[in-house]
Amino acid sequence: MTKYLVIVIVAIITANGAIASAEVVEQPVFEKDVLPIFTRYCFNCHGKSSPQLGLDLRSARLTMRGSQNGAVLVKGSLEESLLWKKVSTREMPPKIFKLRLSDDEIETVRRWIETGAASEESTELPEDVQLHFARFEKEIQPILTERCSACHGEDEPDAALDLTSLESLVRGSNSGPVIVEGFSEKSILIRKVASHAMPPPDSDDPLTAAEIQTITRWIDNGRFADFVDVKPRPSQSADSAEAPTISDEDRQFWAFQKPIAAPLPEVKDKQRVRTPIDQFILAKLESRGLTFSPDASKLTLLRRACFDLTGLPPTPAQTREFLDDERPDAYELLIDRLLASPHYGERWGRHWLDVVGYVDTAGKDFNPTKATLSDGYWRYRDYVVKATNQDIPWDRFLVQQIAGDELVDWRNAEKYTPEILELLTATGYLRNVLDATDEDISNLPFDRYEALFMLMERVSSSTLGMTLACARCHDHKFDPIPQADYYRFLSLFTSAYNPTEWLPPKKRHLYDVSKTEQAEIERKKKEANATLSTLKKQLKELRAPYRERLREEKLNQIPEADRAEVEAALATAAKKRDKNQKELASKYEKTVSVTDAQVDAALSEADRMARDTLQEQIREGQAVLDTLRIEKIQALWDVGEAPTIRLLHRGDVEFAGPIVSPGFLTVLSEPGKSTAVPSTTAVGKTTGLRLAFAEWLTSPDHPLTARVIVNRLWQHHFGKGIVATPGNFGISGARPTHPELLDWLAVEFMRQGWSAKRFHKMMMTSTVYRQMSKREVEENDEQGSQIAGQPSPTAIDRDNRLLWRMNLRRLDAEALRDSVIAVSGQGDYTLGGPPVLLKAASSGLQTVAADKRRSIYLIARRTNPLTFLRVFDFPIIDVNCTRRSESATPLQSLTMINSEFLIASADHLAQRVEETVGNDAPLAQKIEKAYWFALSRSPSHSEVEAAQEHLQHLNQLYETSGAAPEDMTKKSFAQFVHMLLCSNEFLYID
Amino acid sequence: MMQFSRREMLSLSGFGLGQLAVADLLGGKQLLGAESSEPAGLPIHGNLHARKTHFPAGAKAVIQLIQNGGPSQMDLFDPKPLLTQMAGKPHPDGVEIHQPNNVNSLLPSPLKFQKYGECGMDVSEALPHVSSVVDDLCFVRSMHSEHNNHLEGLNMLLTCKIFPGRPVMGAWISYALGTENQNLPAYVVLRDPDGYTIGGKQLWANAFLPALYQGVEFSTRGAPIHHLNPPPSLPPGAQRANLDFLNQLNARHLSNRPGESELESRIENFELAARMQLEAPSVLDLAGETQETQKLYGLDNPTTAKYGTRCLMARRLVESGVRFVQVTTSPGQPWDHHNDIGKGMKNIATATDQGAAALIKDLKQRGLLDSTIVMWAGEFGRLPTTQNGKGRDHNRNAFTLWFAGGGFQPGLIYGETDEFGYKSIVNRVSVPDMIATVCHQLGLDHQRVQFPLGGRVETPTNVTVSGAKVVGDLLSNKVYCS
Repeated sequence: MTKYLVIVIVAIITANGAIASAEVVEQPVFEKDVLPIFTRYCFNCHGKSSPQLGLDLRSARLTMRGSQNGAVLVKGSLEESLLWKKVSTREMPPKIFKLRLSDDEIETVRRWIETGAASEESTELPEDVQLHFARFEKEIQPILTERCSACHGEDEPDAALDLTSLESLVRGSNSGPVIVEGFSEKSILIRKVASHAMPPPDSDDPLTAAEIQTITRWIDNGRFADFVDVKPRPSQSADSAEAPTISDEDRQFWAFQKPIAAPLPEVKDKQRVRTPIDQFILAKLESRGLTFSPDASKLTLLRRACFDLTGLPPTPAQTREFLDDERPDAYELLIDRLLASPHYGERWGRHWLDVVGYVDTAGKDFNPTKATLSDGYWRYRDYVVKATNQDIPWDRFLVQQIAGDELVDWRNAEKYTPEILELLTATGYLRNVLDATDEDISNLPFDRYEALFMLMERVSSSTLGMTLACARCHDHKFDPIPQADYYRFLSLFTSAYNPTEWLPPKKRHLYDVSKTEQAEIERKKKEANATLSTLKKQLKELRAPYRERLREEKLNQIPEADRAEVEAALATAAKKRDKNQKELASKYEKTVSVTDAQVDAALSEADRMARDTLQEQIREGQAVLDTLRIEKIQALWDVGEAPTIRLLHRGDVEFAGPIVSPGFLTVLSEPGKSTAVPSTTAVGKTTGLRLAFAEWLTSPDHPLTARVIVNRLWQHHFGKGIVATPGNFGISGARPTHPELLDWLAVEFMRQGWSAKRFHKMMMTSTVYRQMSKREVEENDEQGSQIAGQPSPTAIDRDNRLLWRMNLRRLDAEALRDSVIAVSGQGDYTLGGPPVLLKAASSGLQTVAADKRRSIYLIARRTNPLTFLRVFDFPIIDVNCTRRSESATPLQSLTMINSEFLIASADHLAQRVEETVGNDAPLAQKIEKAYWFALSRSPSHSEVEAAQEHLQHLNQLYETSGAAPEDMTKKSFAQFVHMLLCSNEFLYID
Repeated sequence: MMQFSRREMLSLSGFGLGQLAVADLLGGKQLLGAESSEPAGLPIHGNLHARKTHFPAGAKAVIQLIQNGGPSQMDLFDPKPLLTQMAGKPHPDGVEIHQPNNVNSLLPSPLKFQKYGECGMDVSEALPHVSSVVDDLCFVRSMHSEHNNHLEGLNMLLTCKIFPGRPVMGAWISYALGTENQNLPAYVVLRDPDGYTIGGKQLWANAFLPALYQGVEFSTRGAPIHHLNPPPSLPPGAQRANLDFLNQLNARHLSNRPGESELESRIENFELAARMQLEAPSVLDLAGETQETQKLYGLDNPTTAKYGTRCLMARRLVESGVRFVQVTTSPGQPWDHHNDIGKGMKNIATATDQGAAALIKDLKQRGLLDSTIVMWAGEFGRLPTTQNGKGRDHNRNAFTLWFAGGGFQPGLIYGETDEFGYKSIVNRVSVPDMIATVCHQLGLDHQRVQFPLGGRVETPTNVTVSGAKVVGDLLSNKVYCS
């Protein structure tokens, strides 16, 4: 720091010596007095290279033009000059640059403005500029007038772009400049005409190639832009965007219409109908000459249900219980048991965390070897798991996550109740988007908006099943979402994420206790610390005489010649010892040092008891102190009123447009009701805007919310949603395969109180769900084409869109890892808590010290999750993940056969088999047990034989390599069970 | 094999004409069953098989030498005498700075320049080896980018966008072209075994493309791929026996589930893995290289050996049919010289110069240069003014990169910066232009390399926003397809 200061001071003298000694002149002139100040302090952003917000301060003329938001300078008036306000308050230059105007310099600027902003700039234009101006009039103006002035003329031109004069051409449109002097390829005007986007394709008069070339050359070769007198753009403060209107036609799209439950369709084969769902699916199958496949076996159903609801394989006890259960409703009871399991919440909570884009880390999180935790964010993960287990109605679940902080008056609470804690934690849903603003260098308006954009994407794709990103820059190309809607929607969150009064993630947290409690805890902490230090002091005093005596004795062992010097050396602080003293100290320090143990051994009986009492008291005091902890919650709350939010042209903070007011997506709102009215149920000092949004979202009339939720439930049970694009229900998304079913489910879901558990049961007890997954293609050739006069289901619907069978599904990354751990008997099923950290090897491998906890509790990172999970398609989180990809790669195969995790797990499984059946049990029995643990079934006779043969082969190989006989059979057996874990039967659910 | 996009996948056809069609695309298969009346959508490639190009290709492989940190153009390739003449004076218009401790005071290059080769390219004394191959290189002095921060700049260089979330160039190219050797990944990353550069694995991320297309790190130390080899405790032949047994298990499983191609491809993958076990180590084994070759890459010198090793391995990978090889420099930001440009530059230049030049010579003498694009680039350039006394701050407005081979015109010096080297002004080339041009040389129309995402069609260059265009002037064969 000191070094840097010196450099700056030197720099002031060398590079700008004139300024440092400048006196304040009476009537400053721009070129002589002000320009040097601007050059030094302002040109980083307002010079030629990058006139931020269009403000260029290189000449008096350019300064008078102002910025895109209007004038910055009014001659003679400090009050009206924005430039003065920014400079005098030292808001500019931004602190990050560490450039600070001296008081004298500020005084110069003040006088310059007050005395009329004098300039010596010549009004005479340089010759080359004059010629270039003339070329405009002669060559360019006629083209623009002829081709463009119908829309871009003087009178209320489109996009405020008037192309009839040089002055208005240089000024540009309401989105900013349209030409960049010297760079035709960067000039929007050229891009538009060259791509024939302008004039509009339906007009008769596109520019000819020669005309485009004329304009291009004029832009590229010659000076003009700095010499045009451009009047400042009128301030846009009064310019606000109306709530957009959406045509009735746009509202006709299925997803924008409120779902209405159609009557259940008639079916022929009524016997196969178990639930209303079956009626919808079967009716469609029958219409294509198809029907359901037969019910799957009990074992298949068991595995299917266990993985679907808990992400774990059935335990041998569960398997036996179910297979032996002959009650007619054994299957329903199984589902009830699974839904009641705490592992249900882990499984389905994780599905939601995907959609949220949950990560445990702060910042950009790109460093493979270093993860910075977002302190306490795991509480949100635990909240999700708990809420899922409690089957909190989904409407309530969403309201809590979007506006939990507005449901209770936590600000004035004496003490945080569990409810307050839970509601604040729930708002973690809106936190931990990719937000780079913890670093000063990336805490600029641009970066703040980027974090807000990420939030918009998370919220819209997870709740609305819509992707809004297009509308950030322009009206949505496919869906009726005007750009204004995007910023109205964004505005709902700005009383919490205020881009002008921004809290970087590091500062955006609450504590798990109220302010009053905090004070109380701090007080108690102070007390406890004071007590502790007294006790420690007493203990020290108790030991002191003994210590002194022992030391004395030890000193006496040192040769007398050295003794005094040694004492002196040791009495001197280590850093201050001279060379001789250092030598002595290193030689004798150990000899004369007295340990606590040595002191304690010498204590008298009475003092020993006193010491015991003191030590006990210290332990107690420490225990008290340990309970006095305050922990962080990553919550979201309103930091104040919502600021003025403007639409950003091209999504660029540099091009702020009209003001927008908070609102909902127009097309999803009743006509005329899209403007947000703060919720009256909001409690405490908060705007109620997010609560209003949450209430709008969960209103029974909302076209999308319930549909999106039931679609997601369906997706995880059947492998694919009724709408195959769960994050995009819009016009560019997939259409529902069964629209009536989707709507019936959505309506029923709301009618039954938004309960996910009820819906799991309904879906899982249906005939659709209970079908076997096998294709019935025996009598057909591989293509499934017609052979015996009957088209096979495969021929009619190869990809099973109509659900004539169950889909075969691969275990996802977590279910696979958790299964391997489960069957190896190593699982630690502790619920919740701080994330388990990973170990990063320099090779890039991310592993965990002990593979015991479930995968949901491992630290969730953006690009560096556990390698095993990543290999099996655990997503990279930039925003979120609404559907996992599924790949099959040789790297997965290598991971399965060679990773330490699999090798260790196979060893554990082999051990488990041996412990269960006994070391002396016949091999066939061990094989049987291994199948039972790994695949929940007994092997067939031929499977046992094949295994025996393989084991024999392995034994031979071990023998040849010189392994001890006993070792050999153990090792071979571990190899065998390892292959069971690698098998497709283990990896796939029928 | 089945590929789902992790975000919604849909397809548009006739994009740009405003026509819209939706297909539900789940990996390779087009699920256009009974319900769909829409035309077939884009093919979503779900494997790495070599694919047809859009038009005849000028090259079939790419070696990307990433020089992160921001190599200083005016101290390496773009000398500016005016900086010496005006040393210590301010830049008249001011420059856009990024970090504290900048002074608007022009800083002359502390390094000496000389003209080399028939093309007469200026190269500074920092790069004595590269200067010996200038007639094989195609220099672009007029590059410009969009952001002054490293991570954002690297994202831009690799993905055409400054924020994470888009696939890198190598992922796009593997997606579009597949690869020629199925026993090796399509896209291999060779990083310094001592650590990652800034951005970590983000620099080879597949983003929304299927995971198949992400760069696979090959370690230059120890086993090349994670989990490549069985543990040493396994006796010889045991893994083969295990795989045979596994095959039996899986065959039995498949026989009860006929027609499930996904199960079949998984069986195939275990065999592929076994072949990869043999091929990956052999392709990285440099023992078979002559001493002369090893010396060429500087493997005999501890300063140059590490980077030289990676360059040599890159050649071997391309020789074995790998499509895209990405080589990074040493950990951190080795070209980031905020404090002492002369001294800092010499360290990293010395470590990397010989390997890069050797790669060109070696590829050329083996007849591989014609079919291989070598690209040397950092994420941005540096300022003509002074930071911390003798250093330079970041500059997105100008930087120099070079290509070699693959139909890029050898000995070409393209584009110009202004007299201070601050801004590229003549024949400006943007990063998206550069990516479009590389695609073109591989026989790909960058606008037709498409992936459906969230209702949009994504391409490597996002042309509607970036305005990317093929820079035909850089190519030997000026008649190019567009």
